[in-house]
Amino acid sequence: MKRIFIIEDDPDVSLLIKDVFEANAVEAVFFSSSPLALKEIKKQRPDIIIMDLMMPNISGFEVCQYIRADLKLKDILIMVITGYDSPKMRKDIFSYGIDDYLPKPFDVKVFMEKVNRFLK
Amino acid sequence: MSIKTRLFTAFGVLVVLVLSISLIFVSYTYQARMLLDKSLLLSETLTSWREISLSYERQTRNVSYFIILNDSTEKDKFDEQYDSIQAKLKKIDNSKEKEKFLLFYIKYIDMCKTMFSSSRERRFNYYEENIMPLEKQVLKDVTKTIDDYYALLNSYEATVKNVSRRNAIISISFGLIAVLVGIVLGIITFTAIWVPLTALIKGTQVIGEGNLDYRITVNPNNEMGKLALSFNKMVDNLRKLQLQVVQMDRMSSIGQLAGGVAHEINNPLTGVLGQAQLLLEKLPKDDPSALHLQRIEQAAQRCRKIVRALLDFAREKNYIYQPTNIETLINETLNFCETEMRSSNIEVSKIIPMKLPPVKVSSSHIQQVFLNIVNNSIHAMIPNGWGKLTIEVKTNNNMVDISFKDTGIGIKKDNVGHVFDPFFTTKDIGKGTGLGLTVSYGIIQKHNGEVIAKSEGEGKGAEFIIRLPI
Repeated sequence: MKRIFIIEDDPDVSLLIKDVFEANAVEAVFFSSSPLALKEIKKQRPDIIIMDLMMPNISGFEVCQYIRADLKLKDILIMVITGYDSPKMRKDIFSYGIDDYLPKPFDVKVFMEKVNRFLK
Repeated sequence: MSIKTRLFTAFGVLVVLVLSISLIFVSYTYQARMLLDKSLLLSETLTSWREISLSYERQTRNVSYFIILNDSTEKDKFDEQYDSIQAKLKKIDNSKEKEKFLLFYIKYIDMCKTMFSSSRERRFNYYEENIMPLEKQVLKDVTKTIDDYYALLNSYEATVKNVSRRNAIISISFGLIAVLVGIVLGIITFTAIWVPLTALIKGTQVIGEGNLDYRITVNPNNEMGKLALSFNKMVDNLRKLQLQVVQMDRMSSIGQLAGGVAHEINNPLTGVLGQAQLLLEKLPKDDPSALHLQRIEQAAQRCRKIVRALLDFAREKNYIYQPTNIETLINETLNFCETEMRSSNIEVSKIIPMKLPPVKVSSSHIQQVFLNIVNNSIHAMIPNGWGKLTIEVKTNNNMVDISFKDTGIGIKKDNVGHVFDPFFTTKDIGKGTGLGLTVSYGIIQKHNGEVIAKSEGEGKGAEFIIRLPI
């Protein structure tokens, strides 16, 4: 069983993901703040991280930088979901070594397809 | 007449006038001087003749006294007078009078000498017979010569007086004419400069106070007119620029607001859309609530579309300016819409010059603008069941004009001014976001270009002209 971390400060989005995972029998740990999540990442080393990009304190990009710089963590699969979608943002996202990306609002089906690809 | 020509003409006329006055003055002065010299010469000659006449009279008296008194000193006096007359005669220029006088005088002198040498008894007779008639004749001639010279001198003096008077009159009248012409030319030049200058000063004051609707009216034929025209043009551009700044300001604040709102809405919208989709999956297909859920999902999808368009509008996109072939860009745009145009019975005609220079643009953005305008045209022509889209490219003054003219439903007169406003749309609900042309406007602004919407009114088609610097 792969360990999934969800880092999302917005309750509407995290609740939706919780519901979608429940419906699809996927287990995940949810964090509403990035500093807290970062602590747990170091402790538990998840296999997959799905997170928002724009978060207070530590942004998604910074979390990603931290993970990719750590030898033990650098192989974690990362997917970001963001409300800002632009060609520039996409370029930035891939330059940070993020594995996949989904703009908000998303279709549940598309979201699950991406998650399933990670789970395989 | 231009002010330059006016000034040159006035200056030329004055110079010619002054020159001719000076010339006339110099020539008249010269003439008067000549006359004066001549009259001086005359008076000198006249004086000489008078002196000759006096000496001659004394000589005749010497002759008489000699005959009567037989005094030899009279003979010496006679010789003295002779020398004096000879000296006087030398001073006089040669003339008929002088020749005649000399002829008789020499004869007279010879006779007198003959008489002096003859015996006393014969002297009187000789005098009476030979000398006296000659003596009278010479005296008469001299008197006549003096009278003639006197008359001549008088007439010369009269002429000099006349000439001086005439000179004075002519000089004064020419001077007056010069002053008059100067005044007239001055007035003409003054009005040519002052009247438009006052209008210009007033205009610049009014415009300087911020009234950009004011235009300076000046006779456009001279330099002042041209200055006023340039000034008016500058105010036109200023007005245009002001409108652009206002529009850009509006756009950028709307953009910032839109961006912020869109992002904030995206999160709850994710919830609404996702939850509806999740619930739809869970519910059996025949559940009566499924229909309502579908509607919620559709509405959320619409929201998503609007928010995306808002973000597109708000975002600073990467502009990469490269020399681009506008014709290729138009053809690519038309390829995108080919299917839709064919099914809607829309014909396209292109008027593009053979040698179109490449234009430095961000091609993806300009294509977005073209696509937006062509799409709008197609939608405007669909209700008619047919249509014609004319795309014309023209170049002039380092600008390229790309016109898209359709035969669609047109734009209401009142709406022409609002087509670029954010959220302005006449399309059915859900069909348009009202941001397409706003985004296009922003893109063309970024290129330092212009986009103009034209329509004769409802049902009369519409034209969009994009003007880009080459």
